[in-house]
Amino acid sequence: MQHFSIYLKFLRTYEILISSALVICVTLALVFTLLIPNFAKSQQIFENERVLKVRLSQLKQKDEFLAKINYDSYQETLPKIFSVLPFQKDFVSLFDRFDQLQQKTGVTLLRSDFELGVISTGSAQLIKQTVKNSISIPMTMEVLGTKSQVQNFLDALVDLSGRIITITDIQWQLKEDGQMQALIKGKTFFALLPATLGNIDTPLSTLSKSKQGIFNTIAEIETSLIQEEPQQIPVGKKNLFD
Amino acid sequence: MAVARRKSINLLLIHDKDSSRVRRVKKIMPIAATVSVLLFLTIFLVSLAYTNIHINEFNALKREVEVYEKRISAQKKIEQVYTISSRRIDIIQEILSATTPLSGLLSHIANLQGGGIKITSSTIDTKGNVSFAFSAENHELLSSFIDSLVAKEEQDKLFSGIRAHGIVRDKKGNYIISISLTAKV
Repeated sequence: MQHFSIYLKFLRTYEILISSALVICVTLALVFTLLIPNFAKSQQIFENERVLKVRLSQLKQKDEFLAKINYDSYQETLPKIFSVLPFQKDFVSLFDRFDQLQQKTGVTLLRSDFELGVISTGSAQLIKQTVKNSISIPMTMEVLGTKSQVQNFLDALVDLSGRIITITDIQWQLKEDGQMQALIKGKTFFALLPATLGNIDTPLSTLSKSKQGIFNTIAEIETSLIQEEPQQIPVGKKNLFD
Repeated sequence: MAVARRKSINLLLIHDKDSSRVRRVKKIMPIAATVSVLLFLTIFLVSLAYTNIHINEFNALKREVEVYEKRISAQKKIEQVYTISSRRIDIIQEILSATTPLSGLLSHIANLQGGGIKITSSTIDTKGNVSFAFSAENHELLSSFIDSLVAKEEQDKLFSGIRAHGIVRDKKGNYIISISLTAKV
């Protein structure tokens, strides 16, 4: 009882101090439990809003860009781009390309070699070019023609009129009749299709002037060269007495 | 005999005097408590209002982002065609920029012949390494051909490192020489 009265006396003497201290403590507790988490939440919302604004700006730019693309032009040119740089090994198109080059330049293609192992299997002989994402197929061609025909042939290999073939070296000799016989070593290429197109907010970039030039050159390839109809092969006489 | 205990009845409470420090603290503490409460309430309400405003803005932005994502998804075909085309054109450009055109050099070497000089064979590569064999009908033609090659090296700077390997004279009296040089590509 005596202790209680001492405590009571103490409380009465310092009641203002004690109540004020209590209020301050409760306020501090509320600051730590309510105010600071609220600040953290608003900071996070502010950060998320900033990220979302950036994303929205990227999406708007992409949407505007896509709206400006001439889809028909690109759709029409894409098969031609594949004819220049196929997405698979496709050695058949190489033969088409040789035929085309012979017709265009007048040279006679005597012989052509390429590493079938590289084409027919996914062997370790696949040589990944330093050029990003393309795979090179080494090859050799032997041609016969006049000097200007052979020159035109060399120019035509990289003029984007068909499958691209680069040259590494040439051995040539001039024959008695003035014809040039050349053994050309080079590479042709293919590039696999990308596995993904990227995210929905991945930006698209405009083609530079030089790339637009390449696109325009490829777009001018005649469609007939790409979509050749298989020729009808006559299968025998209809009239035995003819 | 019980000792009578004297009890004093004093209706006045004896008030202990506070020290000056305690009196000062007693003045400051209530003010501090009031201020802290008011401050807390103000800041808390402001932060609540700020958070709510930003939540609304965030939700509006999110809806707008969803709209644009739908629009872009609807144009997936266009994006696909464009992306594949542009990536392949990138690769084609890289291939072309790594290519050294040799038709000009071929023409240059082939044009060296003439006037009794006959180039029989030649090899050229993309690094500009050239080797060729030629025949000259007589030694005057041979000398003048060599001089012209040297002139191309010294004046035109088209060739460098010109070396002759072996000289042979055939039955017809023609001089056959192999030359190697580096050409500017």
